[in-house]
Amino acid sequence: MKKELVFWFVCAALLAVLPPVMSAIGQPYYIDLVRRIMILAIAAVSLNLILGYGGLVSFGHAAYLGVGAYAVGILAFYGVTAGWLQFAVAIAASAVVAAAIGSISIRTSGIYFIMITLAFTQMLYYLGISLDVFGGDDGMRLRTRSQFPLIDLGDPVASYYVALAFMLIAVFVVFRIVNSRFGMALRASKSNEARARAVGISPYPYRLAAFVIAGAWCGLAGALYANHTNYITPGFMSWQQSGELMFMVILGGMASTAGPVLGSFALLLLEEVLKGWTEHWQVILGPLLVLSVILFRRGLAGVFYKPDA
Amino acid sequence: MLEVSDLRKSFGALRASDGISLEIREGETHAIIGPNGAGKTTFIAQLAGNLRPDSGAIRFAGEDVTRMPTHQRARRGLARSFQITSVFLDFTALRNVALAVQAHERRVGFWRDARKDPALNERARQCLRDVGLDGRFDVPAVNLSHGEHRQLEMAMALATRPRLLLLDEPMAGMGADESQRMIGLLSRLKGSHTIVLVEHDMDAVFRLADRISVLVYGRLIATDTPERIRANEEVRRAYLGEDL
Repeated sequence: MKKELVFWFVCAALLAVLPPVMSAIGQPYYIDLVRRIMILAIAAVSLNLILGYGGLVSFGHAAYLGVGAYAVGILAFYGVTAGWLQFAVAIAASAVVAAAIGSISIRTSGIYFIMITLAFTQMLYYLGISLDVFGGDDGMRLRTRSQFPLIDLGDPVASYYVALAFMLIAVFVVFRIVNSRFGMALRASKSNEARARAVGISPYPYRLAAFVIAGAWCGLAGALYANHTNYITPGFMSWQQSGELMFMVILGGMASTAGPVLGSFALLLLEEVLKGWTEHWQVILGPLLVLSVILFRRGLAGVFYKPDA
Repeated sequence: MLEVSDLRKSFGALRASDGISLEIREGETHAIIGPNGAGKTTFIAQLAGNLRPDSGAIRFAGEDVTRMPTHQRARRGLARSFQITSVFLDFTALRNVALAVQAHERRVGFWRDARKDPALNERARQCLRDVGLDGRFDVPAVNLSHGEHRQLEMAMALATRPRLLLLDEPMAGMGADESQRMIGLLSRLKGSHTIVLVEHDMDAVFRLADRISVLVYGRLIATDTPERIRANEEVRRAYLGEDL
């Protein structure tokens, strides 16, 4: 517990000093890169709530990234640029979509759950492609970024700190949730469903609530992501994106507080390094990922400390 | 307390429950015995709600629960232990029981740390002490012995403040020492709890039960006091070669 606090303090401090350091040595590109990693880490943290703690292997979590991003993009398209409103709509829309998808898919389990979450996300992906008004396959540019008082999301450093703050809040919120009574029931349902029922717990409402919370947080990540890329495409909702989020969680360590954050940094930084070496970087990344899963059974987080009981 | 009338359940041609009628009285310890394959586990599964009967009815505390899902029966006070150990292996002993306390209280929070919730922990510790697991609170369930798992299951059942305890072979796979400890525990619970006990250990059954029902090929051939069951000709035939 203490060790974990120290870990987060060091992480937050390192990330906080990164922008001035990078500006000083003339490498502002890394501010952009780390901002992107932190935004996707929020999505991974939200996925960990259902995948790691709930045992729900959702292969469609990118859907909410897309819904959140399109909520911002579409509102901006019609001239609604107030940030609070855009973000509120992004979160609410993602929660509603998650409730709809979750209420059906959570009735299934195992491979069916994986396939049905994938199928729903593919539906949204093709919906995005078919929306010609919003650029269809090509996507659309975000003409103006979300407007907030005092904070300018167009400023690379300011938006970096916004992403950092939201990432730390997401980690803390999920940490509180999984150790609350709600979280215990959710984890118990994953651990032994028959037992949970026998003591009087019906897993369904817990799983659905977790699914909606995770969707809402991922929607927030999507709203940030739209402002980060300044461009919104159906690709946000592609199955590759869903797979990447899953991989961040698994690589970092499922059902651990730091896992998804470590996983996001490890995966995306590695990708970045390999891209610099060769254009066939995926050939190297694939085997490395396989190795890492074999070597770190509990993910990268398991290397730093043991997961709490 | 529990009323079963004309319960029937078939798997293909096999009639696992062939018209079982039985009344469990408040406060009694009622054992169900029978040779292997007699349909005891099928019967228990229908009482707990894991299996739906083909026909017949189950009334619990004056309410028809025949088609009620397991978790709702549990909330009404029907607690069970499993024949094959079933606990939350990745939780500590204390968290296992605290979860059962929480399920019984039916209060859910999203923010407060359940691990530091005195209401949950005190009651959970009390239940663990009751079954003889003091000093094992913070041991992960995966590291407990087989006998301790069974004790843990009892603690979880007790934590829900059950009106009826449904125990499916609580002595299964236990060594002699562990069995004696479990019999001691059950005789302490007896009287203050209504218990349905399915058990192969005849020593335990005859020491604990107020009444015994004998199940053979899905039918109850006798329900009576232990002395009369011991003397019953038909029961002796069903247990041919076994010493009652």
